[in-house]
Amino acid sequence: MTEELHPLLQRQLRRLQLTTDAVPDASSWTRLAERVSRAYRDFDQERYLLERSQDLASQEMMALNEALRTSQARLTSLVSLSSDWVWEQDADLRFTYVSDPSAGGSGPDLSLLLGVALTDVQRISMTPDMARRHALAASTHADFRDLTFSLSTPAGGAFHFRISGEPVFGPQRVPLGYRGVGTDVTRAVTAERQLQHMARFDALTGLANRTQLNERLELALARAGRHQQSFAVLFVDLDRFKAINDSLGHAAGDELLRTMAHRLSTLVRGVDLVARLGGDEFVILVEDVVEPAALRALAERLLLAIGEPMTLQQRRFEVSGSVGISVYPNDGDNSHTLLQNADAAMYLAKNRGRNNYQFYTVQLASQAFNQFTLEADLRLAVQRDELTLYYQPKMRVDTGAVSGLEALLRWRHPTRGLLAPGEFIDLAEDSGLIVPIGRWVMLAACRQIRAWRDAGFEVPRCAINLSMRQFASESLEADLRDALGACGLPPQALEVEITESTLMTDARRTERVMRQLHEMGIRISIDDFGTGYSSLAYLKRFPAQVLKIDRSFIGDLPGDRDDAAITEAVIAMAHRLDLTVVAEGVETPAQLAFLRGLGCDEVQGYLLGRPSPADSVSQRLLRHGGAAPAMPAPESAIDEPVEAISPVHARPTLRDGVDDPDRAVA
Amino acid sequence: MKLTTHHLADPRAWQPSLDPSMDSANTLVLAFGATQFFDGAASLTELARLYPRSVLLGCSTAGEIMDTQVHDASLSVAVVRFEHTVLRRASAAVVEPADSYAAGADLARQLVGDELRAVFVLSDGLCVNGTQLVEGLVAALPASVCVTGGLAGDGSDFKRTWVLEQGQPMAGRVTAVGFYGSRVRVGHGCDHGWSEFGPSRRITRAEGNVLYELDGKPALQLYKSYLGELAAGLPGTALLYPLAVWRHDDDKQHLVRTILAIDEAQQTMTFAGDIPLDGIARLMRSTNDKLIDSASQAVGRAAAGAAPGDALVVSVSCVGRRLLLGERTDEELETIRDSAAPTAGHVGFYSYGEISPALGGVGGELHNQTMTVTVISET
Repeated sequence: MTEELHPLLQRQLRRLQLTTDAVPDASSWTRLAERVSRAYRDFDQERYLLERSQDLASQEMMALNEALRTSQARLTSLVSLSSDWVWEQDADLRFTYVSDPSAGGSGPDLSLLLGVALTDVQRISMTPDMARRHALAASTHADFRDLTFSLSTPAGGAFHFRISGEPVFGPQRVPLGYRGVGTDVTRAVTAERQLQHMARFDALTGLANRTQLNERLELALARAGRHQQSFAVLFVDLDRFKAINDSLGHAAGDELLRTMAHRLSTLVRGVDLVARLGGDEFVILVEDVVEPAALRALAERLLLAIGEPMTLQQRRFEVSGSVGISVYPNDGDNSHTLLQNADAAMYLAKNRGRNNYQFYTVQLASQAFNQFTLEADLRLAVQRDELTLYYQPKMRVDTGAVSGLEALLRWRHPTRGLLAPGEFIDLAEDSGLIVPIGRWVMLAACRQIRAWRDAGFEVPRCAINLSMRQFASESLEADLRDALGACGLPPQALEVEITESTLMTDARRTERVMRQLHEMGIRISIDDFGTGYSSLAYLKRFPAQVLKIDRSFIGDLPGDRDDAAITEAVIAMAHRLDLTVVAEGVETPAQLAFLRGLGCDEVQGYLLGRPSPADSVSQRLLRHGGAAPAMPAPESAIDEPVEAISPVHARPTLRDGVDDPDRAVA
Repeated sequence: MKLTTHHLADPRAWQPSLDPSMDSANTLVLAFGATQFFDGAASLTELARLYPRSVLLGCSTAGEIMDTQVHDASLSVAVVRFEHTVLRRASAAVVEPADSYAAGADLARQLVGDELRAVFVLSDGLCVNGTQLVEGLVAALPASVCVTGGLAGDGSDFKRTWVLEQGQPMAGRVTAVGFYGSRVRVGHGCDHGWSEFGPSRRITRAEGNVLYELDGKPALQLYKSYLGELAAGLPGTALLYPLAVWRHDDDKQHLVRTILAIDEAQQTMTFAGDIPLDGIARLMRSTNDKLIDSASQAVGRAAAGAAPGDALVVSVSCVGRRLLLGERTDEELETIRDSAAPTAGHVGFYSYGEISPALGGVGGELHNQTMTVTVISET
């Protein structure tokens, strides 16, 4: 029976040295009973402990679970409300989860991140510094903060994100990946890039700005020094830009600049730089090219491109440019000097009549200085009574009578002598002094006419030249009326000469202004015809009366076949349009004879009379009683007393008939 | 080697009688006895007198082990005469726990020498920081030396313990014996059979081996709620829920800590080992079957590699295990006895801390709630 007893009971019996065969004595029986009782209590206790610990642990776990759920809910709620989002990555740093706060709103589609690893250079880009920082953190399984990167989208755009993260480990510190928060910084990054761009680029034209130009110049200088290379700096200035800007408004001016910027850019190579310094000044940095021929060719291309007509606000415009060229190292070994010298060369180009290019020469330094003082002097010229008008007659070919006078501005400079407009009109235009000077010319001419009439002379119509600025001025009509009115003259006493180029600069406006003047009764003459980009369509609409053929076509007559053909054609066309034709620059009897043969109406030039002060003109008018002086007969042209003939210097766009701007015979 | 075991219970008669012929310089006498032997230590003096040349080591217990049974109010003695093995005794004083590391180092210094194979330590159980003691000892010994032993007990009273010094029971002492020679085999094994359960808790306030708070709440309250009606038996019943403690969140191994004392006023619990602040703690529980299985595991490891023939099996088990096993305590001892060779002698005691190399480790560590078995044999 002992075998069937519970092992514990067996043990207890053994302990007390009892068997089941014999009945124990009383104390043994008591001890056995106590032991058995203890064993039962042990079992109870064991079960009690088991159940109790199970219950309590279970309750604790439930409470923990609840707390966890609440915490989770709180976190989820906070995350969904926050503009930031949370993300997780696997051990390969691939995004496996992103919460999306925008949930279909205006934010970027974060799901684009899923499956993309931060090391995936096809989709993710970051600065080298960021990449280094991230690589370091990832390799040491460390936290990282504020990692900014951009994600390219299938559509071709990019989003910019900034994330912070910490590593996640599993048991035994096995790295499982990362998790963290992120935020969309696309706007901020874009704005910053824009700022950086703005710091180096001109906002209006998109060209490099002065800052960038200086950087590139320094680079070019360094490179040139190292590799014994050269480079050139071209200063490009748009002629009379200020006039256009003032007359047409800044919107048109801006568009003009943008168009010019574009034209200039297309002419240079990728390695070169076109920069806008401000206003209407551009600088072109040409690397490795310094042969004069190549630079000349480039300058000519630039001028051609600038001179092409353009449409601004549905109107047709033409401008020209002046280009100055300096070369490293001959013309300077630092940025400042190279720019300054290119600038001086550009001023020379302006002085030489604009629409041309000049290379820097050492003499220019002093000339630039001269320019500066000249402007100062000009400012005082009107007050100091240094301006005066000379007059040159125009004559009818058939009768030889004086058909008109052209008033030509002269400046008696205290130290430089008598200066012709070629030397200071550009200055006047640029500085705005042309306005008071222009009014002075109108008034002076009118006064002179008044004086002559009062003296009893029959004064033919007197023409004054109008500059572009004057022509564009809103007060032109008023100014003319004031001058005429002040001298009690009818409008028919005056004629205005406007160059073809000026007229074509703003063709539509031209038409309007010309009509105004025409209605006033003032005769209008198109000067220097043949030298501008004329549109014949407009020509027929301009209410002009006179066409003056530019001297460049007359000078080589009658020998030059092309000039002869052009002159003949112009005369024929002008007549068909009911315009009177005047040939400028007539200096030889042969020219006169040829022109007569073509039916030219009037002539002007040294052959017929040089520009002279009012007194000389008075004498002539006196002498001939208002009639024309003896016109050389076609046959005896050579014997008639004529003024000395001076050689003709071909000049592109001079406006008056003076060949030699340094001296004029008083 | 020659081995005899003797038990002294009421009435005071040695079973079997002591044999003085076993005395020699190479004889080890281990004596484990009840606390009461503090007073009336005639039996202990007798041992010292009968075995004057032997190395005499002994301590008080929370139960003496003899063969397959646990006893109280008795003395369990084992006498082992080695033939080829040299013994040396070491001893140090420990007044308060802070002296523990130095004491351990002191013992090591006394024992270190050629061919030292193993050290067996018996220490005061209440004024010693067991962890520090063992660390100090192990740090100064070669890594190949295994250290086993235990902290003296005081039943489930936790009031005073004694360690034998010159045959006298004394408090505040740490003693050890070193085994020297190439023929001695000291096998060791330990296992505890407790499993952690329930939530992990953060140790939010602790100092040394005193635990204040878990998860910001008093630890004592937690124990009281889990003990329920058994809370009346504190501190002893706290042994039913040892604490599993992790120093760092990702540590693989945890330590088992057992209660030593509680302080109702401070609401603190003192454990037989350091409680790491900011570490993690979980309660542990066991069942009798699991505890007994663990004893079987422990002896299996210890007995492996033992020399054939006589062997001395010294079990140092934990007072906490006895509390849970209750009437079935003998079962774990039976398991051990059954696994050892038939001619082996089995002694030991229920302690306030067990010393043995960790599973698969070397040196020695302080364990709680654990069955540690040392098997000593000679080839």
